[in-house]
Amino acid sequence: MSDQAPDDTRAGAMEPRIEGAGERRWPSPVWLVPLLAVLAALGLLIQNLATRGPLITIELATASGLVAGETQVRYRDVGVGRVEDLRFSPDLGTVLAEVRMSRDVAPFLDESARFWVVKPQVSAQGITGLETVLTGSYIQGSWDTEPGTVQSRFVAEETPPMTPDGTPGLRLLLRAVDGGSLEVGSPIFFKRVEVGRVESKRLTEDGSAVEFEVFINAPNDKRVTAATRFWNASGVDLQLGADGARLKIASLASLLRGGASFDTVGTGEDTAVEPGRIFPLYPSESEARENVIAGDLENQVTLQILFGGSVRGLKPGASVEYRGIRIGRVSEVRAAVDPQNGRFRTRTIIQISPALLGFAGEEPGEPETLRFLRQAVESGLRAKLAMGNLLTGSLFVDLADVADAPPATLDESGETPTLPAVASDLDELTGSVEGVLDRVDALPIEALVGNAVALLDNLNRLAGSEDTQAIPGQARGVLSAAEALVAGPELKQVTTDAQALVAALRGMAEDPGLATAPEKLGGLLTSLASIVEELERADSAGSLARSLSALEALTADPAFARLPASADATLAALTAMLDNPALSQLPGEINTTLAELRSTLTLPGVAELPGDLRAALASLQTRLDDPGLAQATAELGPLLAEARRSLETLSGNLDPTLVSLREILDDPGTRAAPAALTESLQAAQALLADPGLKTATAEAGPTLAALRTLLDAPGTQAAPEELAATLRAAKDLLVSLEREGAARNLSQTLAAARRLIDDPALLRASSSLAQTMDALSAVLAAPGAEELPAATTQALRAASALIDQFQRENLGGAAAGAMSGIADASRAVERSVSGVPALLQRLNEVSARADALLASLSVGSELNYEAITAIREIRDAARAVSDLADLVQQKPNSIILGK
Amino acid sequence: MSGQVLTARAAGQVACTRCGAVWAPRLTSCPRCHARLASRPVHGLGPVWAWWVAGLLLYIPANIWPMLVTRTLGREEASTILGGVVELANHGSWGIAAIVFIASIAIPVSKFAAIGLLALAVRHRVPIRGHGLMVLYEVVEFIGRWSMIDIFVVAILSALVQLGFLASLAPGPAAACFALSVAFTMLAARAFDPRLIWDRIGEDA
Repeated sequence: MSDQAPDDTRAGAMEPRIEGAGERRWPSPVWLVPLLAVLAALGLLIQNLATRGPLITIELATASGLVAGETQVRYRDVGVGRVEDLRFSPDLGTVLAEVRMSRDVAPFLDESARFWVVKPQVSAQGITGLETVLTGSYIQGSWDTEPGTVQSRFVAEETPPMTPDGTPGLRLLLRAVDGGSLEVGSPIFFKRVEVGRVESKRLTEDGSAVEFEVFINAPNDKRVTAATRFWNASGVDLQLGADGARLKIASLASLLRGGASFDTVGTGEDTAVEPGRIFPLYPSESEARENVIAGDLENQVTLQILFGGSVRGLKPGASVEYRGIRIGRVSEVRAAVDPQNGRFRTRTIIQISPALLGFAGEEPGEPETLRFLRQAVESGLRAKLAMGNLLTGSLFVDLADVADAPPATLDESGETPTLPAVASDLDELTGSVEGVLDRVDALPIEALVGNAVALLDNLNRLAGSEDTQAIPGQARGVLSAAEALVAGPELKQVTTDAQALVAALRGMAEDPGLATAPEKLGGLLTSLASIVEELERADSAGSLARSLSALEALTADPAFARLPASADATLAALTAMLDNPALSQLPGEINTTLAELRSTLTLPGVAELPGDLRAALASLQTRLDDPGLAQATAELGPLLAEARRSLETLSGNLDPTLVSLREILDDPGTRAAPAALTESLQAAQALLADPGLKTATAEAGPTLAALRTLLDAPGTQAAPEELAATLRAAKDLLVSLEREGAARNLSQTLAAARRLIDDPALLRASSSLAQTMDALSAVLAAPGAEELPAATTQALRAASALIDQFQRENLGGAAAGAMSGIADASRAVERSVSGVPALLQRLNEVSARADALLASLSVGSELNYEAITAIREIRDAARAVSDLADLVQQKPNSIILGK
Repeated sequence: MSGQVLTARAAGQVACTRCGAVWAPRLTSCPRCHARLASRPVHGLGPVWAWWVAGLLLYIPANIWPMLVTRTLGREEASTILGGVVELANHGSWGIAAIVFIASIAIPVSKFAAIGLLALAVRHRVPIRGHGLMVLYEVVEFIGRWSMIDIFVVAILSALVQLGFLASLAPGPAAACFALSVAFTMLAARAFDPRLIWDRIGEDA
């Protein structure tokens, strides 16, 4: 503005024509802008100062989480102030937070105002102040809604108050003898519904009790009346009293946090209570309820009883019952010496509630009660101790009507009326109970348990041993082997082949050529009969009888007695041989051999065999009819006698020979023989399968025919005569032998044979035999062997030719040798076949065992039953667990709430 | 131009400031463009000083009050212009700190100084040559708008960074003050009539 004056004067001087010179002009209107700015700033400043609330000081122990200039003070979560400064008190004892409060709340900052720092807090009540993790701590303020004398200095609370100011409800004081498990924040229950909280816990000034400040929220504060009793409902309440054991478990929450319950006990005084009233806090619900009586002391009738015996187990608070109904309680038990006779008595003070006796009404009812008791005592009412609980031994006072009681009256001479007492049957009872307990104690339970444990250990070891565990596996292996054997194609094939063989044999038997054979056989038998007659004539029967008696003597011989043992050992050796794995291959081999045999039998040449056989038999008959044979038979008698003598000597040497034989059989070489035999059979089978053999069979026909012609030959017809001559010669020989001690010689020879068998060389020989068999099989398996049948055919052809030659040259004797050779072969086959039944029997045994095993595993067996029962039990248990799990899943709180 | 300057006023004429035509001094409006004709501003330097004072007054709260209010996870943080510069420098962003400093502090302050100097120079003896004053005026006119760079930054940031509870930016009361302050200094520069400098040059001559 000051600059404007020279400007104007100068402008006016220089431009008099443009604008009026010297004209006083208003300053530029633009000046309004800074003027407005200044005014706005001033306005803001004034408003700020005007609306600024008071500065208060809050004392804190620590300033954790508070930041000057940032930390808010909130009331109902609305910011009503801000911490402006943080400093120490002069003695560094506390932290002083200077807080600029809002003007709105300033009038309420009176002595009711409380401040505390809200921080994240994890406690049994839950997690609070979580939001301050992110936003930082703040100061929460709380005050009532009544303006009062404003204060400017406050002390912050250590912990946030439980109940915000202004919450509708009732604040009460509970007083207990000790703190118990009730803590600040513990819930207050009414019929198990949480209706309030414990706000503070402190000792009374004289330290004799603990005071709890509790707050009951509206509308449940109406439940608190003058008749309300509070009790500690924390956790588990186990009571063993005269009325048995009682276990009460409060909810899990109160287990953790403690808690108190209240209920309106009794009637009357249904009036509301003023805030701050002091209630006693009873340790348990039962005490709270019992103390209803104690609380109505003016309405009680006090009596005393003098018991003679021990009152151990009778405690204050015990029931007084009349005909099973509780009518009062024991208030005191103490000793008292009777001043009259100096006898020791236990004085029991009881309190009887007229209300419980049934005297209803406004007045106390003491006169009525005493009147009733007087009459009752005269008619036999007596007090006696009764056992309330066997386990704890607690007693109660029973007012019983004793029929044969000595007369007595209610003694009202003293300060308190005295009820007459009778001795209880308690001691007796206790004695018998103790006796029972002694007996139980004397039971050798520990030894029993020890034995049971040992037994279980053994069972465990047995079940757990590797052998036991291996049993099922081995059994399975045996069964599968048996199964494989039974189901094996070899055995099936054996059956099939046997059937086919039988069929072939039947076909052979049905052959018309064979049909005539019986006739021939009949003739043959007739001839034989005549021979027998001849023999009888020659007293050969007598010789036979003598031979038999000799045999009898032989059996009586001690050496013979040893025979069974030796035979047994031999059989064992044979069994071992049969056990040889190589033998198991035999069925297969036999099977194939049988197949081959069948195919051989079905050959056309074989069909012709019966015819040839018949012819041969006819020839044989003619030979048998020959008178020369009859002569030979006559010679047989003496021959048999000779043979008997020889047998007698022989028997002595038989036993050692058998022993030696057994040794040979035990020899590994012999054991190896079956394997070699198997191989030989295989070779034989290959041989049989060879087409050359089939040709050989075809050749057999002509051979037999040739044989017949041979038999029919005159030379052969002369053979019986020659046979007779030979027999005669043999007899002569035997006679001469007898003369020359031939039997002894034979015996020596056998002994020599035994020595020979005993000789290690023979053992070697047996192994050599096995080797030889091996070699044989090798030979048979050799390529050359396949040509053998062809060679055999040729040989047979040659034989045929030879027989022709024999026929020409009358060589009947040679034919007889050939016949015996055939017989030997047949016997050998017979022996081989005789092994098959034993094999089948073994199979049978195996299958029987398998059967038994299977039967033991089948349904209904004991093992099975046990297993099924066990499984059923496991299933039931699983179902029970599953049901429980379902329940918990549906109502997870049932565990916590105990419902 | 050395020494001799002929102004319209010296020639007894009045020039139209809009279309540049020169007329007789008695005319109050330009016959060509109908603009108001005045040889020199009616209120002289009064409006200049008024704007200047208003700008300066607003510049004080603009620096005291927070320019930008940052809310990160419920935690509120307010930063003033100078505080922001210091914070940026502490973070090592020297370049950005320099830009903010130049745009928000150096330029406004030097503008106040320049306008004040010009206003003083046309009335009082100031040891600056008349031509230098002309250059100073042109620089002030040009640079005025660039002072608003801070306001742009705040506006863009508060529009972009609105991540709710996580982070949000809001302009503080200083932003408005600063914007007004810049606007007032620009108005002050406009209210200054450069013909007064020519008069001064004429006097010098």
